[in-house]
Amino acid sequence: MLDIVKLSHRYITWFLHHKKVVPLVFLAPFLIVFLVFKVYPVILAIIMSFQNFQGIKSQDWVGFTNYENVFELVRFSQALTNTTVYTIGTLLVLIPLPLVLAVLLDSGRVIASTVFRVLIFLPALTSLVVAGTVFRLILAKDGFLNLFLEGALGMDRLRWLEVSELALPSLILIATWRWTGMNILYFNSGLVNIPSELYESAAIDGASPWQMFLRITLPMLRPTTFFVVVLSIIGGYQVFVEPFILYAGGAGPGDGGLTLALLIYRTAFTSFNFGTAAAMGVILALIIFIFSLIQFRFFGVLGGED
Amino acid sequence: MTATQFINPGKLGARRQSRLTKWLMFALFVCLAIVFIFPLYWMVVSSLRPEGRIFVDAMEIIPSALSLDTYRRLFEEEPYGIWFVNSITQTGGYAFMGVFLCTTGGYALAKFRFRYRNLLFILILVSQMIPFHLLIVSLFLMIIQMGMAETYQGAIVPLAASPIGIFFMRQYMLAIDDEMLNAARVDGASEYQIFWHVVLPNARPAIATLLILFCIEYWNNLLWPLIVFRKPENFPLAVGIKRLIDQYRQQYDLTMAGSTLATIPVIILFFFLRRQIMEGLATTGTGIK
Amino acid sequence: MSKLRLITLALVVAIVLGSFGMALAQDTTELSLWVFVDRHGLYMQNAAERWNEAHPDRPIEIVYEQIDYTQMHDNLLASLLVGMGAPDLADVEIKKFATFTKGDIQFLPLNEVIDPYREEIIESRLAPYTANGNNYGIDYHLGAFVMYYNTGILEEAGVDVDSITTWDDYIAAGQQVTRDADGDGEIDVYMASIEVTDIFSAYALMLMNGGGTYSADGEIILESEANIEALQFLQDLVHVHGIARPASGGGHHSPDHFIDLVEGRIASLWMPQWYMTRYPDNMASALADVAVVRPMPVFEEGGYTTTMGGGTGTAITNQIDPDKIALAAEFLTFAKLTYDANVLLWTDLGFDPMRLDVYDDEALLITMSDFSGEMPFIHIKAGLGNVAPEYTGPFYPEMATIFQTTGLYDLIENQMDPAEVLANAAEELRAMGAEF
Repeated sequence: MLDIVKLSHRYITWFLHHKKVVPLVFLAPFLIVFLVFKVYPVILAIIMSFQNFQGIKSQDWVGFTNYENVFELVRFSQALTNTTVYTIGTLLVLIPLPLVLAVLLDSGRVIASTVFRVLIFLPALTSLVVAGTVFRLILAKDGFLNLFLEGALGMDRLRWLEVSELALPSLILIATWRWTGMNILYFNSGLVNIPSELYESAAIDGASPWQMFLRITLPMLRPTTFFVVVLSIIGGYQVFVEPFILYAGGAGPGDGGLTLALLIYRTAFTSFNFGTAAAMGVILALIIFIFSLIQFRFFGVLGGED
Repeated sequence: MTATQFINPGKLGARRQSRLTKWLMFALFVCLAIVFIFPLYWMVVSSLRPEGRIFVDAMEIIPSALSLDTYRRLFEEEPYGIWFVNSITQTGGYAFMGVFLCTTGGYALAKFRFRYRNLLFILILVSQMIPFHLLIVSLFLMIIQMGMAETYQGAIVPLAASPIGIFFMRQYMLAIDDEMLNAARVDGASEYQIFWHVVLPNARPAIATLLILFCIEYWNNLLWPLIVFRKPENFPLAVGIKRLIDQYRQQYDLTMAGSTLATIPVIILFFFLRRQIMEGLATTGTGIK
Repeated sequence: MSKLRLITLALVVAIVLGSFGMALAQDTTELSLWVFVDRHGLYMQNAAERWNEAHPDRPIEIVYEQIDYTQMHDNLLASLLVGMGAPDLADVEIKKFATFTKGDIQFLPLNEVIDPYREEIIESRLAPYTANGNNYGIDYHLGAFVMYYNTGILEEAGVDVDSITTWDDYIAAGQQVTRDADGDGEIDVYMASIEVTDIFSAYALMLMNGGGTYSADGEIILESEANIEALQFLQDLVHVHGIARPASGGGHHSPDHFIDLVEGRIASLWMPQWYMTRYPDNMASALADVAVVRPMPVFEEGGYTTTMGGGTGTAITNQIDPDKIALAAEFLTFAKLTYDANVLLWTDLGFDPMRLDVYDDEALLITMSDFSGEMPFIHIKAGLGNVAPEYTGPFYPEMATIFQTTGLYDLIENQMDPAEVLANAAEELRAMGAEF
């Protein structure tokens, strides 16, 4: 009896230390959770996108019907347009602005640059719930932003939260507030890696600061820039919490702030249409995936393999 | 003065700059800092306004009347203290589990050769690009079937296999000297002893960074806990605060107080561990979602 | 010896108490309930106490959870789909109800227990919670639309609130009331505010004009002439007569809107009766001296005098223990449909009853300090002459979403032709699979 225990114990020990088993043991915890909670739900969602899902007990295969439905929905094209405009808008602001600020902060000409870096970064630490609610107050009709526009700049008050044209600008404003500091951080880590010899020799050749910026800084920052661009695209296409909070569960006036993620949520839980929602999820994933492929190519993550 | 004087990327400071430029630059950044800090200031100020004044007094940049009444109401009318404790527990659980999975997994990916390793690595990276909304319905149905709805495990485990986390650890582990590991092997140490006594001590900075990043991530996370929990006594802070503004019940005063208290720990943590957080974020590129 | 006796005694007492406790535990039926309004949960708990007094042999305990609006419905839907995790009883809001009656219905029909009360209750109140002829939910209250006035503003403009009986009167009064009070060239006092991000303002007019989403026989009648007229009327209030404006923040529950009311920028608005609770709850009774309720203005003599807005039906889910079904159903009618319950609904909760026979009960004639010390019930009752019914159907939730998001926005902000607004909505419903 004892022998069997001993034997099996020894066998297990031998097994666990086997050269082929060791890596698996290390990998297993991550792999199991990854397969069960990431891979499996994706497969389930893809299956669901081809079904008329009415509950655990009733699912019929419907082919591409859900996908056809998606493209017939007016809201889908609206959400796709909104999300794309939002993403492009964040790119137009959140690439040049942090880049210039990072370069300035790195130039050694700003007193207490670390302090500024930290202060501008702080919003990135707040939760999106906080960002959404604070801006709900600031953007109110009698809110601070309007009083500022009116009092300091003599402009008319804008109905930030009440007209659909201002929904995306409001969301881009929140994104700018929250992500500028973070993107400065990325550009900063890119700048640190530019060898200073490049600038030294350029200075000897009599290059102006502007020329150096164009000829050295910008090209050397290309990988970082691209990385930030693709991160912004992935984040931009998934935007959900900001409008969800800003408009207290809705998508803003006239659905001006309706994003793809919000539409998926609404299709699943308001319209009970899990199949169509899943199909939208697949389409959203494909959009992001295409941009991600570009990221892999340019950023060279895979190139770094052994 | 021309624009070019502002845009000097060099680290040399070779050109002499006028005092004026320096002060203008300083002024520019002071303004920027004010703009970026203002919403946080506004959050704190709004939370301190007397009841019912939050929208009426929006023009008062420096409030004329302050009151801690909202905070009192926050703890009396809502289980805010419980949410706070829940957040700490769940955040801790998530961070430890995530770090455990990513450290062991990252080590395996970095230091062992096995079949399909690269394929697996690619798969993990690709999964980072999958929008959470694709998973949300099936994941939700899954945790209900597994009896994990309304539990801490249900909130934590499905998020714990972080692709970016394992990527970060793998990159760090790659830099660990193979000679060191082989030396330990020659000394007769088992693979597990090597991991415990050699790898972990060497990976300590990376582990600390990841732990902090995971903490911030979960602390601020809304979407998944929002779906897992329905009983207020189980909510973490973000869900609790979200609950205060519904389509038909929008309590912005309580929300501001709740947000202020929820933001303070993160900012304190940040000031203690600023370098690790900023460098960690710059390398992982996760951002905080 | 005495020690032994003491121990024996203690044992006996323990056994007796224990078995007594067990007997109690066995008899008390626990029913779980999800609500999204705390008042509803408390109401049901109070009803359970009254039930236990009336039926000591079959005691009930209500264990309720208040979950916020969106999340409760999402979670309930998923729990029902998966077949586990749902409570015994659940509140479902009217705009969400049809979502739950699509596909396999996971609620239990209540027809039999409702039957004894059909004579007394306003039966069209059951319509929103009915599918295929089965009643699946019972509402808490009637939710009749009334007009909320600020008499302070009206008097300043020389308008007597009781002189308004038709919409024409209302518009005429509105033109007196709407003005630029501080003289800065912008109008700052409006007769009415209307909702653009919620359906109440528009939907009341549609129903009172004989329209709505569904007809009595379940046809979608979105593009009916009655609806077009009603929406045209709403648009005209804003853009032709200039006496109404969209509520700040979009709806009548936005905090900026409550500020407008408190600051005296809005002279009136029409909302269901339950909006009365917002005066103490959201405006700290700031308008107690000037707020009154009056019956809705009518389009024409003999037309509908009011309609119902919003509502929440309590349903029994199919995940309830089969042994509890009969008791739960009987309790539900006890809590909501009996005479006494309907009296308490007004006196305790401040909601209008759905049984017509209690409207003559003198117990309901109480004054309310939040409404100028008047007896609001008199005015609510006065408006119930001819209640426009509301019929819902499978695409009601989608209709509400369309109106809340783009429909009313197009109508009011973009001044789109009402017929086009309705045609767009109809087209969108068809794209989602509605056939009509």
